[in-house]
Parts: sequence; C-alpha cells; structure tokens
Amino acid sequence: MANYEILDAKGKAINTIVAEQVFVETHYPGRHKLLKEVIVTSEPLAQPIDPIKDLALKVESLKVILLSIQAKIVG
Amino acid sequence: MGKFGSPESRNIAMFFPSSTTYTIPYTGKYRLSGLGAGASGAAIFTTTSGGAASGGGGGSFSEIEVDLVVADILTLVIGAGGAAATSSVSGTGSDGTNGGETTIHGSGSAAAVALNMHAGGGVKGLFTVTNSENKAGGVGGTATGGTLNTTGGAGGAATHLTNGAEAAGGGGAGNPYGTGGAGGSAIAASTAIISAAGGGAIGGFRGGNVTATNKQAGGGGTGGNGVDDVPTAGIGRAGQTAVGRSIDSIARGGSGIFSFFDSLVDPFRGLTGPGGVGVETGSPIPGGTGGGSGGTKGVVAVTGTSNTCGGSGGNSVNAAATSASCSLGGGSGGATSVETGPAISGVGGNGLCTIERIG
Repeated sequence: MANYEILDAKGKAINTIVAEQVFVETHYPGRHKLLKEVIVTSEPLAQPIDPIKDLALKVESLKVILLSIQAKIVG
Repeated sequence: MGKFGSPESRNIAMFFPSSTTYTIPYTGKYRLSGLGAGASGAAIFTTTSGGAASGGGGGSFSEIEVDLVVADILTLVIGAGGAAATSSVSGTGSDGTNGGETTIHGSGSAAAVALNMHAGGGVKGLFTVTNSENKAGGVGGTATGGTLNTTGGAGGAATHLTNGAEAAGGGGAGNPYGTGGAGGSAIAASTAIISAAGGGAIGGFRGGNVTATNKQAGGGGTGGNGVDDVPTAGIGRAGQTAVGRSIDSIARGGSGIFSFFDSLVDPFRGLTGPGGVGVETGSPIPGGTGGGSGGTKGVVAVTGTSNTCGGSGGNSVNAAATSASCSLGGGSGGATSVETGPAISGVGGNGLCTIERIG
C-alpha cells in the first residue's frame, strides 16, 4: 500500500490516494506518481518467540541433567 | 424467509482502507459510505520571535443506501491524508497539505452506474511569522452524491503575536451526526502566548480554544466541546467523561489506544467517545471514538494519533514541536516553536470506504 498522486492530462495533481501499484496502473495508466510507501504504525510489536533459539544450549543442559540421573541410578 | 428475515441478508460492514474494486456477491440492499481524508496543519519555528500555525480541515462524509445486483462492480478510491509539514530552518515555515478525495462509482446495473459519490478531503492549514496576522484554518471537505452528505470541520485559526508560538487544532471529519467540529483556535488578545488548542470531534463539537500562555486545551468530544484554556476534554455522546470510554463503557481510546469504531454494524454511527485531554508533559492521549485529541507541548510519540474521525490538537513549545497524526478522516493540528526546531505537524487521517449489506 502506498500514496499516489493522480495527475490530469497536463500533469497537474488532482488527487492523492491510498492504493496498490496494480490499482493505479489499471485505473490511471501513465497518470500517477508514487509519493511514499505507507508505514503502518501502531503499538510496538511483541518480540516473536523463536523456538530454536539457544537450542544447542538447551541440549547441553538436558545432557547434564540426564547424566546426573544416570549417575544416581548406577550408584 | 422467517419472522426475522433471511439470516444471510445482512452482514457486518466491510472496511476498505485502500483503493480497490469490489464485486457485489448477492443481490440486495447495501449501505455504501465514503470518508474523505483529513488535511495536515502547518508548521513553523522561528528562533526568538516564533510563529503561528493553523489546523488542517477534516474530511467530508457521504452515504447512500442502494439496491445492487449480483456482479455489479464498485470502484472505491481512497483519499490519502495530507502529508506532514516540516519547518527545519528558522523562519521558514511550511503550510500543510490537502487531504485526498474518496470516491465510489459503479458499473453493471442502472443503480450501480448511477453511483457518483465524492467525499472531499480537508484543506491545509497555514503558517505566519507576521505580528498580528491571522491565518484561518483549512476548511473541511465537502461531499456530494450520497443521500447523506456532511462537511468536515474546519481547522482552527491562529494569530501570531511576536515572541509567541500559537498552534491551532485540526478539524473533525463529517459523519452521520453532521458536520465535523472545528479545531480549537489559538488567538490571544494582546500578549504573546505559547499554547496549543484541541482537535475537533464529530457532530459539530469543536476543540478547546487557547487565549492565554502555556495552555493545552482539550479535544472535542462526541457530546460537547473541548474546554477553553484548560486540558478538560469534551464529553462523550451520553455525557460520559471517563478516558476513552464509549457509550457502552468500553474504553476504545486512551493511552496507546485508537482507530476503533464502537460497532462493526453501521460503524460510522458507532462513534460515541469523549475527547482527549490536553497534555503538558508527554504524548497526547487519544480521545474515544469520534473525539479529537488535546493540545500538546513538545515532541510526541508516534502512537499519539487522534481517534477515528477526530482532529488532532496543536503542539506549541519553546523546543522541538510535533503535533499528533490522525487515524481516519481528521485534520491534524499546527506545530510551532519559538526557540529550537524543528516543528513538524502530524499527518492527516486517511479516507475509508465501507460496504454493508443491509437487506
């Protein structure tokens, strides 16, 4: 989604609209000018959860736990 | 069809924030609504001597209920909110930018072909550095082609007195409740002021005016004007005053909350919140749905937009100044500084179309 200036036959801006590129190319061929991409702002995004972050660390941690259990069983 | 009608004959509103075409899926009666975009306010900073910035006008509103036929095609063009104005060189101000026009046209059935709805955008705010000069706010957009056509509220006016920084509020958008409320004005009688007025709401309720120094007036509410020279916001539609709360007591405005309708059915009639209060320290606090935001002082956070159809308050300070942007349809307030810059006005609210099957 972006803002486009719509131009008349003489190149004068007659409107400013929100649209996708395909819309202006279909409805205003050769009569549009890209102004800027629309940056949608709202609440700060939450940090996404990465399930494999620090995976190697977690495997090592589990190994230590398993070894300690094994040691107790073996005596 | 049963006692209460066919269950599939009504749908909640569909929202279109970007230009597109839409093919009617069922023959029936539809409510089509178009909201024009809000304009931006002006911006000016001048070391020592200051300046004044008026507010941008709100977008207009057009609505029609029409019988459409399956495979009719509607072309929806969505107006863009006026771009922010920036003053980054002392004494060199910038006027705002007009809001874009939202239109609805159709093809197919005779009723669709007859559609010619235009919801005009608001007009930009202006700046001045000339002593005693008044700059009117941008007028609200005008609408045609609907059964209901309402005008956007004008931006507030600002008069400059040397060494002052006067920032007016943006206008509210047009709406089924009527003409949008005007932005508050920033006009002192004789002594220079550094103050910011509130933004206008829907329904003709204006933002609070400022006439004395170091004031940040409240935004208009959907049931009353913002109060002059104090931070108190206008009341909600039923007189409610709790921050951001709509008539059903649900908070749809307040710190970090904005861009809501009270209802997904007939959404433009579901705007019932109070205005936002004026803020001396910190980001503006959006009012409830349909309300304007209050005047502010200093740089505001990006989340500080005004709520749906409300105008934003002005921003005036003796440092960098930024007025709030608007979510939908509202005009933004002016931004002005009497010492360091830059001064930057908020972006006007974009337009919107809704399509709702009603029978």
